[in-house]
Amino acid sequence: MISLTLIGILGLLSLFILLALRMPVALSMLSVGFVGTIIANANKYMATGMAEDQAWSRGLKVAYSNLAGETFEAASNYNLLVIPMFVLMGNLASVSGMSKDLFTAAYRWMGHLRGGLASATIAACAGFAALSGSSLASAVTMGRVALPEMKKYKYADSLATGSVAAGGTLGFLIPPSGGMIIYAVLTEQSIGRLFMAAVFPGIILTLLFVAAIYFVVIRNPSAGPRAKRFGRPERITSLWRALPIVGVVLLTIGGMYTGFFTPVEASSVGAFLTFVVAAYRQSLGWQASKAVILETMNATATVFLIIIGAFVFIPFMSLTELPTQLVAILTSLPIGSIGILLIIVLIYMFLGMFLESIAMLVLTIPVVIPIAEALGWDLIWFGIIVVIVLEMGMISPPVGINVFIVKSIARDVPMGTIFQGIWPFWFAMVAMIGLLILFPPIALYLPQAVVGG
Amino acid sequence: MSDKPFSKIVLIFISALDQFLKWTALICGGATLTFMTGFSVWNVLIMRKALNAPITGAEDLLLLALVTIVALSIPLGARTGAHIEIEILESRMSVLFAKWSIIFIKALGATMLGIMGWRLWHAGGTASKFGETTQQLLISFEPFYYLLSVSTLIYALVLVLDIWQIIQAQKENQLQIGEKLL
Repeated sequence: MISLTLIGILGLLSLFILLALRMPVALSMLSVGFVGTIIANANKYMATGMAEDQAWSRGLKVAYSNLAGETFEAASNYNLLVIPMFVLMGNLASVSGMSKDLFTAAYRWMGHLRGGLASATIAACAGFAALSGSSLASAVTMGRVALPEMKKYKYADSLATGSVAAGGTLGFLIPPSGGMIIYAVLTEQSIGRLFMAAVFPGIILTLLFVAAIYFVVIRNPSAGPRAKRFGRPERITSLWRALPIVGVVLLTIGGMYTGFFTPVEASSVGAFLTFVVAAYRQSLGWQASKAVILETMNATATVFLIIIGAFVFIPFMSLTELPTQLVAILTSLPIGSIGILLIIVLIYMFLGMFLESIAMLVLTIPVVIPIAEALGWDLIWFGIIVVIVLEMGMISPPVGINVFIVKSIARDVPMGTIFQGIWPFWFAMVAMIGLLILFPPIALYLPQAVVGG
Repeated sequence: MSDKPFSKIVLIFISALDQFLKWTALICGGATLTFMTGFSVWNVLIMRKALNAPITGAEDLLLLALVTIVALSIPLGARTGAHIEIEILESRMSVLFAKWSIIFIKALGATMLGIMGWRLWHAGGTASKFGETTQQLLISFEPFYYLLSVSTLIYALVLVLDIWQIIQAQKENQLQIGEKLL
């Protein structure tokens, strides 16, 4: 017999070995969760005096039952209906040219300022994030429209690519965010409350990104020269073109905040309205429709299999009592609650250098959430902090995914230059985390004011 | 790749599987997504908000549509490389280690998925006996367990085919889904 804690440690170790050997994250969690459940349960039964063969047989039965039960539970979780719907909405928005309209509007209003095109990119990314919920989609779509413009006005490559890579990460924070939906489901928090909690941090982080651009161009004015100034009629026209996006966001996300729609309803209505806009603009040809369906299903596959893996892995972790032991160790440290939070944030920053954001989220939740609960942290507030740290991982060397996406668009810009350009935005995110730690109401005010409790 | 007849048959099979997954995703997936969007909007905006007469069992139907879309997505994602892997150490591995470790990992994954598919099939068989149904319309989960089981088993099959491709050509070819948005 081995102790449950040791089984938990061995389980985590096996998980990391499988991940390092390139087993998909979901399959690694499934395998370790399944085998771990057999071993942990068998040991538990043996500890009660049950015969060895009987204990193993009972352990296997529990694991079999968990495997099928948890898989079906994850696939039939009504709250997760928002995932395919919001992904569909983002994909329809991409093909309908909404992202280009957003950038054009921001460009015409801000482009004439120093660093204005980079700021316009950030603003457009924030706007598109409210439609798509995907950081990759934001980075790709904005990269394609914004990078050529910035190149035309001789922006420094580092600032141009850095602003696209960082702006894209806003898709992970600004609702409807895929990462936040997964966090909500795995921690049993309200998706609506989490979305509300992300509004002010999303706006503040957008402003901090703009401030970071301002800081860069103050130090080096040639990094972000002024672009053409547009007249009032052109500016108004651009706003008119961007109006459908504002309309869709206001109706869906706004409807959700006012309680008119539940998150699931808002996601369907959003997908429908975006479909109407795309159809009206005649952007849904056969190729585009095919791409929308296949990409939506592709993203659904990514997210759901990982959630299924997490649904099997999390009960195993709870069974081993490893999280409880970790809580006991951490709370006994003389560093206080803030010290523990900073340690967690630093660990996330470190992991973010190597792991993909959603993978990191599902892998760490079973261990981190019991700590947060034991320390009495508000899980909505903590979720926002976690999401921002995960965003940092998307632009952190050596494997920041958004940086690779930008690199695929700006092929002539060396990787080092892109990473050099992301630092001001990385520090803006650190500042945002600091603000959230110092002033939790930034995240908590809106859900408390709207929903109460 | 080898010119042996068996190799040709496997390649034809992979190509046929790709077409099957792609067209199933397009037709069945497209129809399910359309149903989810249209039915939900109809229920919310027209029936519930405008007429104050929500459709009985609407949530049940949407939930089953979700299971369907998940089941259709998983094997497609297996062929398009949608399932997230962490490749940070790959560049530090020797070619031989990289090859055999990925074969081992894929075999392990296929075994795990095989067990999962089997258990889902078994759970489907007992779903009616244990009263596993939707809440309002009391639709049995049985066929949906089977659907998930088949989906999982196709994923396992894809992994086996990946192993064959790696052994034959050192790498697996993934399904490209055409005009990518991302």
